[in-house]
Amino acid sequence: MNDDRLDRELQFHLDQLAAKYIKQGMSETAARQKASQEFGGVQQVKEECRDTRGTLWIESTVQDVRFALRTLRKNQALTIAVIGTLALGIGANTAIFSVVNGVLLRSLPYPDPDRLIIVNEGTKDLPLMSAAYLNYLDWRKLTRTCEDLGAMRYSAFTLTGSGNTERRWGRLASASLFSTLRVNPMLGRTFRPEEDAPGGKPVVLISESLWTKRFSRDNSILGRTITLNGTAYTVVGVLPSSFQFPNHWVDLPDDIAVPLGQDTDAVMQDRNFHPGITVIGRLKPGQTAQAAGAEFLQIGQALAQEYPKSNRGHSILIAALKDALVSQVRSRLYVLMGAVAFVLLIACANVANLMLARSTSRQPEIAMRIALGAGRFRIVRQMLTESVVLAFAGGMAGLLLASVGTTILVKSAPGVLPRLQEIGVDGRVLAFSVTTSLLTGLLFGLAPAIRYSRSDLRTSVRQIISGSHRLRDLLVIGEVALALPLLVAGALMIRTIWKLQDVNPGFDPHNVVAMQVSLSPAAASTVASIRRAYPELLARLASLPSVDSAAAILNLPMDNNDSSAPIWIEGRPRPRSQSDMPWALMYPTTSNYLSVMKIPLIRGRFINDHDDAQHPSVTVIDEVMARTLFPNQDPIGLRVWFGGPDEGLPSQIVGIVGHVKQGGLDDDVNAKARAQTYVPMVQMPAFFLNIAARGGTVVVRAESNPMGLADAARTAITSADPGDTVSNVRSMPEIVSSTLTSRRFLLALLGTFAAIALLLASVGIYGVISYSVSQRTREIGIRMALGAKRGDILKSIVGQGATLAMAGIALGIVASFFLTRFISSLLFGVGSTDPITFSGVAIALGLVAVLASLLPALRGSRSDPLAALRCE
Amino acid sequence: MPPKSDLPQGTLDLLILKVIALGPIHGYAIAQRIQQISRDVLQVQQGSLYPALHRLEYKGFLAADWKESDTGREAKYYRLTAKGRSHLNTETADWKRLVTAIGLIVNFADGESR
Repeated sequence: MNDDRLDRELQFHLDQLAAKYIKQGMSETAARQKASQEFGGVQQVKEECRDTRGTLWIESTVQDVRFALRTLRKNQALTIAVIGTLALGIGANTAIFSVVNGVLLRSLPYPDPDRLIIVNEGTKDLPLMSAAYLNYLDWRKLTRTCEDLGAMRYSAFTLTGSGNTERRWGRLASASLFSTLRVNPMLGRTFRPEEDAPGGKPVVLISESLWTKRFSRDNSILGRTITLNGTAYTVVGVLPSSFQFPNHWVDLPDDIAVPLGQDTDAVMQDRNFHPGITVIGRLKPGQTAQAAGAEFLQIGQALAQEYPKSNRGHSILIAALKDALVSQVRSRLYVLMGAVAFVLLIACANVANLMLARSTSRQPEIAMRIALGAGRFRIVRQMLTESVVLAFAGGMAGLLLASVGTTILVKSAPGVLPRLQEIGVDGRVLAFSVTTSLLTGLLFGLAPAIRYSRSDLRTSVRQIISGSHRLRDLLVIGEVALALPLLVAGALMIRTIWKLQDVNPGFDPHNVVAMQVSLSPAAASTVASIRRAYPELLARLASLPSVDSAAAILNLPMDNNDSSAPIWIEGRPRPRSQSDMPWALMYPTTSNYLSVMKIPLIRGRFINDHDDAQHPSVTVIDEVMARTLFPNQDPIGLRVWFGGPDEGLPSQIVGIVGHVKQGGLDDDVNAKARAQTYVPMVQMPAFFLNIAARGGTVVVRAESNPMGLADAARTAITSADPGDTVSNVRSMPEIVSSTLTSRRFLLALLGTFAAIALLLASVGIYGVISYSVSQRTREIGIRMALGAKRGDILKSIVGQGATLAMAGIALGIVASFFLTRFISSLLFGVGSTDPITFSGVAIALGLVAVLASLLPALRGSRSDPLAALRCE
Repeated sequence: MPPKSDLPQGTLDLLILKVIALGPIHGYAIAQRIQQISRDVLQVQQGSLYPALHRLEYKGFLAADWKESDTGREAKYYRLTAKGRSHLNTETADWKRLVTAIGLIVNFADGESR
């Protein structure tokens, strides 16, 4: 409509002008010609007039998009290639971003989450340890910066009555924990303060999932009793599945919570013990974690004065709860984010290359449009619109890929990432992928767009082609340079895993199976019955036909679970406080443990069956402890006191054994407490025996195929006492290997990105070389007609690809040199600038480049010289 | 015939406003008038008038109506708005100041060289 008026206005002008010349005596044709010459290009004027109006912007954008869609539909192969490449790039980025978003960016799923803090204790040897229960009670009384504090502790429960005997994980939780986290139960109530104290009524909260699975969502569950570890508890509430206790890892779903304060175990009433209690605080409005830190410093000093033996040398550490939960994975996620951004850049380069290739075929069209009066800006905009439309299509496909990818990531990440249940697509992830698509479109669209806009009829097509050739070469060099660091990172991770798999764990995991056993309430009722139960159970296992030997241990090495104790060596100066003493890991175990695990005995003897409750306590130490604590002394025969002089447990050292890599194959050297001690389980105080009764580990060495005897072992245990439960049956090699899970996870991702990068880069080289071969058909024909050998042609074409690859590899090596330092903390046994890895990757990438250029080269050199000459 | 020169940047708008200030007028007539006033010294491609007209109209300096012309055909007549008139006044004042200044400089330079 506007256009129509504009036409009429301009036509009027032209007619008047022509009329003037006709009046002067010109012929109509001559007059029209002169008028139009004087007027200038009508189309150009129209275009410029349209551009003066802002409202037309939308109209012409719609036009541009429509035109773009039409063009893209006409060129299906290219469109599919571009969208596929972008989907890969944007999809991978979106998937990783949704993990970063869920883990690092999103707030914790509690009201006012920024006011939640975590309170830990630390000493110089154990920089981060859980709180002593009595300390927590004092903190709670003394703090002015926090509204309240809550405490919790992991526990396993044996659930009996109304159904199968089941083992469930859960927490001992203070009544204040729920108000601190501001959780409301979906049914019933949480604990009352009077229930969170010794002698309180046994009450329990169950999870929605347990309520559903075991009680079919029966509303009459409130007030009913369930039996946990042989004691009847009254159900007072159901926690919604949207609620999770603050967790570092989500391996164990919490199904049960009972009041922490009812636990009358001695360790709860002793400041020397730090029995895995996590303390969560809620800051008062306006208070900061720093202010709380300063306050807790004072509280800590006051308590150290009052209780010097246990508290002196202890610091109290405050951290924002979210930071504490995610700090370990933050840098790893950033590494992944960086790596995946490289993949996107490579994808962009590839797409820009495809678009440039098309530019040659579209040159006449563009030149024509410019000649017809299309403004330069208009052409650039049209080209960018096409790119952005492509990028959005790629982004949509990428989003689909990402949702699949994220699901796979979440499934394979337990034990690797915290907050897994919070990972998913939300507004921020959508915004990220839309922004990424837009930027991507601009990035790969800009180069061809600028190139188009410069061309007009005067620029010869040849010039443009040679120009775009240079640009395409640069893009390929860039791709190779970007791919190399990813490949190097992947290769370094592979070498790391190989090195780690060769590490000797300090025992022989083959043919060993481990299972968690909890004793029936009857067997767990007294210290004496616990002491009896384990040897009986082990004897039953050992009598199975394919079993070599069986042993029990309180907590297995490499299982994210240890107990350590300060020790005093008799005859040395008496420590003033707990933090003056060295610490050692403590493994309460049975006599067969050494032979089941095949840990080498270095000197003396291991625990034997005579080391029972009636005999003096003994202990066996490892070589690290012998070396570090007894450098110039024979430790055998000396006595050490676990827990310190006076209240500690004196034990005579009877042997030295090999060191076991408690923290996993990789982290052992970093562990603060590396010294290890073994003590006879039957000589341990009630506290340890109670833990062993609730959940000890039994290890069984089989003659072969250890997992094959899992069922027989289970039957052997439960047939004698149906109240015993067996759970978490795993082979020992699997446990050893699980210490590498987090690295494997990273390797899998980095490896995937590296593979995509390699694929895209080789496709890029292939594309450029085959394009150049098609351009050089005539030249090749002439050279062959003049007597050039097929081999020479082949060499020159492959040489072209190799030259590009070499340039890219050289740049990539420089880049890798700077970039691999970011993964140096993930490497083991290989330097971040390992020359073998660098050169190996460079050679491999070079070979791939040669292969990628060999295919088009073969095609080119096989062409018939006559046909080649005729083709122009 | 005097040598033809290109139009200095920005002066086309001023010329157009000046011509339209005399009364409602269509594009063709504006082109003729500009050529007349400048005694053919200024060489303007007549087409380049229209983007300028449309821009001025879009900015609100001009308004336009379709009316019958002397030849009996409908033509788009432009007229100055109040906003356009005050814009013309300031622009004219600026222009005069600039011309005076340039004239002074040129004269001064001539005097020096003599």
